This record gives sequence, structure tokens and C-alpha cells, in this order.
Amino acid sequence: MQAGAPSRTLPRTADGKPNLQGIWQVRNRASYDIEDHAAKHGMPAGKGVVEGGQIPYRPEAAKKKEENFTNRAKADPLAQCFMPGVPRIMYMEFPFHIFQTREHIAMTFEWSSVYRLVYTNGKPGPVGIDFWMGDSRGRWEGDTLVVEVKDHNDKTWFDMAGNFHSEDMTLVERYAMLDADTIQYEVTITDPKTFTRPWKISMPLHRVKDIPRILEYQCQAEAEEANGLFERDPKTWYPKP
Amino acid sequence: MRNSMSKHNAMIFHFILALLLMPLVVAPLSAQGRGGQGGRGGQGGAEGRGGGGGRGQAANAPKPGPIRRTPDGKPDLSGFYQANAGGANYGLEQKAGEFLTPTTRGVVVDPTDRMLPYQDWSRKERLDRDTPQRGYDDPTAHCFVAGVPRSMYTPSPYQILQPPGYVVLLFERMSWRQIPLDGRQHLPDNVRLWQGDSIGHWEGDTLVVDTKNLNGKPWMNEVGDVLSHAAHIVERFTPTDADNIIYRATVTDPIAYTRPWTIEIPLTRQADGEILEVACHEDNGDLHHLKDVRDEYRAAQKKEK
Repeated sequence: MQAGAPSRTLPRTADGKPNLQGIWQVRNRASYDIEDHAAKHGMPAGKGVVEGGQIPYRPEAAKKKEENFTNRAKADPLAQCFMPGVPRIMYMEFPFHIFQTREHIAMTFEWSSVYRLVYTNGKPGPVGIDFWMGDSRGRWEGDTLVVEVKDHNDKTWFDMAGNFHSEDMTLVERYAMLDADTIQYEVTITDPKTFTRPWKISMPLHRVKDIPRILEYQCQAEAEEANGLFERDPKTWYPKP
Repeated sequence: MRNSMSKHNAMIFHFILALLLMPLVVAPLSAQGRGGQGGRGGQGGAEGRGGGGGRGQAANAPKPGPIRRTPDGKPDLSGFYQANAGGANYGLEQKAGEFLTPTTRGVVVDPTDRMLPYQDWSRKERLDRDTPQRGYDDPTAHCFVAGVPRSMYTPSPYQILQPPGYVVLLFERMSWRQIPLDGRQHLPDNVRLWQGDSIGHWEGDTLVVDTKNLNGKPWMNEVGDVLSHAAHIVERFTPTDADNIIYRATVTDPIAYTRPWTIEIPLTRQADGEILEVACHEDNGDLHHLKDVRDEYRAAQKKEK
């Protein structure tokens, strides 16, 4: 089915939009490396999600990417439990929940309980502030939700392999529901400082039906508990570890 | 060179923070806009990225309209809210300001003496937590999730969304609560969460939210009001007009308290407000000061022994 073509089989909201609400998750290895990659320690092999296969880095940026890859155990922002940013949060190996109202799409994630709030009511965004998770403004083009994500910082990565961007990055995300249980998720990435041209990633999001709700993974709290910096209080904490 | 703070310096550090926070505590009362969520835990920096000015309501604002309704006739609670919490994040009981702690209005409405019905051990624990060497132990000083009910009265705004079948709360400091309204049961007892597991239903115009499965890690505020994993919390969101909600939370926690108790806090919607990401952990530069204070205290205790 062509994305954006009207379909009667899609679940719809009261105002006739495709109903994206529910729990979703990717089934791919993009969180390790969005490009095709062989297995490495702690990193299973995987097929990439970049259209055309390769990210069009500028030469100096390609060098930086290699440094990031070499130093990834420490240099990955997620190693410090920092917010993953967009689009990385969308294809981490955790389920996430989309909520939909007339004016907003909200996405809540297990990872450090981050969320995205996408305004679909035409409200303009703030000016001159950057965010770890960017600023998301959406609109419907037929049956496709189109979200422009701006105001990123330069500290987030695309994946565990060190693929990165600058603070000038802008994204256009397209959420096209293929059927009741599948959303084709596509992102166009533009960042002239880092890449020679805009490029795309694309992957299906699958509806998760066998869990009643998403839970929590509080990255920093778990890290500090594990290394003794946040100590168990036997009087108030749940007794089972 | 020592890079840790002496006790004296730590006190000055706390005092400066307290001074900085004073306006934030009274801000909701004087409608001066948003407050920070910092405090003894030292997260002033997390609020340092500006924006969000003028979120308060003007004194001469027009009277709010009647309760808003969704197409199914239920109250529409959606919007951007700030609690008028009277300093609940610095103490649930009424207390005059002290050297390091701002005045708190007191939000306990049951028992009638407006004091929390602590057990002996938990009152002692609460007093111990309110000492410089325990500042490090407040999970929000680490930028961890505030939990329930604390998320509802930190001096930081939040967004309420009402998609079909749910009420969803988004907090500026990157955490959320989801409240399904489909009549489901709680999660199995051994699944424990920072924000607990919430289920909700309507009783007339009041949204009633039942929360269990808490992990017992959060404190209820910076002075360390105690809540254990055994807590069962029933919150009631009662809209009084288009922009105002009376929020009540009744807490039953047999580990820490002798009887159930209830707090009441008004929430006010700000029509033009927009929630902005607060990168607390990413910007947390102050935690090590609190750790130094604790470590020096522990070292001194060890020496005395």
C-alpha cells in the first residue's frame, strides 16, 4: 500500500485520523548500528536501516565517527545515562507507548522515563532553546503523521556505533500506518555540517500486544545502585531486589 | 588540594540555595510564573536554560469558565498545570521557615491536627533525613524520579493529557505517569516501579486514581517525609472550573504511619503554558557537594568510634 493513500482498514480516531495509540516496538538491530554491521563484542550483527546503505558523512565527520566507534564504551551518551535524543529513542530495544489526542501525540518510553510531546495543533515552538529530545511539531498529510524535529543539541548519537550529528540537525519524521499493527517509520536527516546531503532511515514499528503496559528502566538510578552510589534503604525499599 | 567542601562551606552552600529558592516557593502564590525543582539537592542549574517566563496568571485575569468536558461528558482535565503547593516539596506539615528551610503552608488535611501520623521510627527517620549529611540521600538530588505523590507538588509544572481510555501526566523533569481508565487490575505485586502502577476511574466529576506497586525509593520531599513500598495511594482530581482542580491524595502506608492521611493541593491550569524539557541528570553538577558532606560526616563518625 502506498503511504498516505486512504485506507478503510486502519483504526481511526473520532476525528478520522489513523489511530496510532498503543504500544509499539521495532524488531531490528538499529540501536546497535543504523548501518549494516558485522558482530562485535556486545553488538550482534545486523542489517542497517539507512536508505542506500551508507551515511553520507563529510570526510572530517567520517573520521570523528570512527573515533566515536573506537571509544564507544565510554563516549556513548547512553553510557552516562543521558537522554538518547531523536531518532535514537524510537528504535531502542524497549517498547514505547503512543497516546493520541486532537492536539498532541505523546510518546512515553521506558528508558529513563523520557517522553516526547508532539504538538499537532499548529502551535509554534520556542525559539533559541535546544533540547536533548528536540522540539517536535507535527501535522497530518492525508493519513501520514509528519513531524518536524528541530532544536537538537550536539550531544546525542544515532546508535551505539558512534554515528552522530551536529546541533544543526533537523529531522522530518513520517509515520504511515500500513495496517492496524504496523507503522512504517521514516526519518529524513538534514545536517549540512556533518553530512554531504540529506539521507533517510526507514523501518517498521510493530504493535506489541502481549504486555498490559510499558514499565520503567531508570538508567542512572540502576547504575548508581549497582556501583554503590545510591544505597538501599531497608526500611522503605521493596524487600526483594 | 582538597576539592571537597568543609561542613561550614556546605552550610553556606545550602543557605545560598535556600535563599535562591525562596522566591520559587512563593511564586505560585504570587503568580510570578514557574518555579525550579532544585533546593537542597542543588538542581538550580537544571532550571538554568531559561524560557517559560510569564507562565503565571495575572491578578486581573478573567474568571475561569465552567468545567470543560470531553465528548463523552467527562471532565476534560487536559492542560498545563502548576500546583499551588505551599512548599510541600519542603515539608507536608506546616512549619515556619528556618535557617535552611523555607516556610511551608502545610497541606495535610487529615488528621485534623494537620500533622502526619508517623510511627516512632519513621518520625525519627524523617528528622534524621533533614540533616546536611542526609541531603545526598534524597533521590531527586540524583535527578531520580520524584514518585507519587511528590511528582504532583514539586515546584515544576506538568502536562495532563486525556487521550481515549487514559489520563497521562508528563513532568518537566522527564518522567511520566499513565493512568488507564479501562477497569484493569494492578500489575503483579512483585513488579515495583518508581512511579508505581496507577489505575483510574471516574466518580461523578472526580478522577480517582489508585496507585500501588511502588518501590519505596522516593522521598516525599527535601526534608525527607517518609513513604514506604507498602504505600497504597488514592488520588482524587476534582475540577472546580475550567482552570482549577482540587487534588487530594490519601496515603495508607502501614509500615511508616499509624493511620491513613490525606493531603490537599490546588492545581491551576495556565492556558498558554508549554512544557519544556528539564535535563536534570545531564546538567547535575552539584551532587558531588552533597556526597562530600555525607562522606565527611561518615569519616568523622568513624573516627569517634
